[in-house]
Amino acid sequence: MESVGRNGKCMTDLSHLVSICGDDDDFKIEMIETFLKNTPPLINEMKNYLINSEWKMIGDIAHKMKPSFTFMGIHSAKDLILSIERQGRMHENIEEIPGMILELESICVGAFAELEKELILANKEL
Amino acid sequence: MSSNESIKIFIVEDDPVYLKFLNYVIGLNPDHEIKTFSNGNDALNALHEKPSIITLDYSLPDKSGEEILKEIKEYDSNIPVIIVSGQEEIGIAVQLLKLGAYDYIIKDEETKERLEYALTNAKRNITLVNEINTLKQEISEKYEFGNSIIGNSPAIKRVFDLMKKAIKTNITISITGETGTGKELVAKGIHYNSARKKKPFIPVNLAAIPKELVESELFGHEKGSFTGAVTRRIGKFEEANGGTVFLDEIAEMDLNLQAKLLRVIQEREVTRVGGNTIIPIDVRLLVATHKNLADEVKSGNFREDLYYRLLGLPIQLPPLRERDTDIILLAKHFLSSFCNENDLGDLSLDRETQEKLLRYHYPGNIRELKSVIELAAVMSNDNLILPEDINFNSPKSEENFTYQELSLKEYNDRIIDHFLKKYDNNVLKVADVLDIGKSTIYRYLKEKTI
Repeated sequence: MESVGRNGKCMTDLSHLVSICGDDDDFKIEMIETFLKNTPPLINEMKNYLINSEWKMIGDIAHKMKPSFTFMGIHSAKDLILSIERQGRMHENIEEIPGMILELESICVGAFAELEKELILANKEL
Repeated sequence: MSSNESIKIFIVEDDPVYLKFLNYVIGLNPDHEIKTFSNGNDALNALHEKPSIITLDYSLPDKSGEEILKEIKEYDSNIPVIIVSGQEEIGIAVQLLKLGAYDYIIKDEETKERLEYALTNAKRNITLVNEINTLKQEISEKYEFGNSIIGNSPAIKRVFDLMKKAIKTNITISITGETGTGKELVAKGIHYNSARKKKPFIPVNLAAIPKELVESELFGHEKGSFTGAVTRRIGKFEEANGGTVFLDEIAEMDLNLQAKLLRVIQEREVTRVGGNTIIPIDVRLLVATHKNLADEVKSGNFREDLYYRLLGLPIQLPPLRERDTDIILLAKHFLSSFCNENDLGDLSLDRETQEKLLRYHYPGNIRELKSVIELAAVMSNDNLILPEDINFNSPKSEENFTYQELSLKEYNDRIIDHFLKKYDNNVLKVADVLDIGKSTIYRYLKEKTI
């Protein structure tokens, strides 16, 4: 269920997803694939809004990302996404937002790698 | 909704991951027919497909959840809309629930269980709404003129004509007629065939409510407004809003309350007992009485201004004795209904039985006929109801002697005979009651002896 990230800790935890679908690997694979396909464009979108300082839009994207990160059990990103959402929408401490986006991207790199491995394993089991 | 009946659910969600999740969870029930939308406008354009339930994300690319919810409710206020949102602000949830959202579910680790619970409740609610609609339809059919009021005598046809006029407008209807002539049935017939038929029909029998409680019953009361008013209660006028209030035995209304009723009719608003808030109402008024309201006005028991307000379209119901062969039609109808309800098989009325029924004058009118027929069905030993099975037990019981077409002298003799029996052969008393000379009675007695 869990794999080990760069710092030795698991970046993802699929136990919530498995609690929903049980041994329905097809659904699990679909969810991971959709997450892997959908999330990078959202991070790129955030970066684009960053160029134009459109903080509210950045907050809205963070809001939209929250639930899918919960499915993938990327707990280390939870507080980060909440901060980007709140600070972006409220225009609070906006100078921190670029750094937070980069940190989120970094977490995602590790999480994506784990999920890719999970996909390979799940597909083998099918 | 039976378990094998398909139920159409729209999922409106722009996040592809969450859309897959909702589709999966809702699709676990094979009875669910799912259609998904990634924006609000597409979902709104598909409302003609009549979804049973909609799950709606709050943040969508084209419109806010609030806007979409309003448009759905404008299209069909009965569709349960379950908001599934990442918004955790209580203010937003409260606002959406106020706008008519069925439930508000936060996107978190318990969403699956909450969603399943909300769907179960929504489906139960839909079943109840469907049952209510079916019952309303059945009631509406039951009170179609031809189904509820039986008869083809000229007297009842005149009533039908007036009822047809009554349903076209909101005019107040005053129904008069002896007890048991079907005043409430006529009131229901008017309501359930009028434009207000989908709204409540609220009957109030003013003779059956203690005088001191009538005001609270009609107009409601606020908590603590009098001893025993432990909670706020809405009155019949508020309950009937959009529909019809039927005030039976209106002549029994206390004079003070008549003034308040007049104000309610004129201003189209009520104030609960003990309250200050003025509540606008949209209610059609039907009233009935077995008394002559004009006489009540003359004797000072009824306000003249209210009398004219209530008069509206008067419908006078004929007593059963003036409805000729309707008596037999009604008797057959009551007999058939009673036999069906009690699995008695088919019973019919013997020819002599029918004649006996026609001869009687029915002081209790249709209510009495129904009771007589039901008793006869019970007493009958065969599949034919015989004259001896018919028992008239009314305290005012006597046959409708005009049916026999006797000579005037014969009728006179019968009348004198009746009163002599009634007053124990006290000639003086009978002469006084009938306002005739004693000699007329003695002459009758002499002829009878001969």
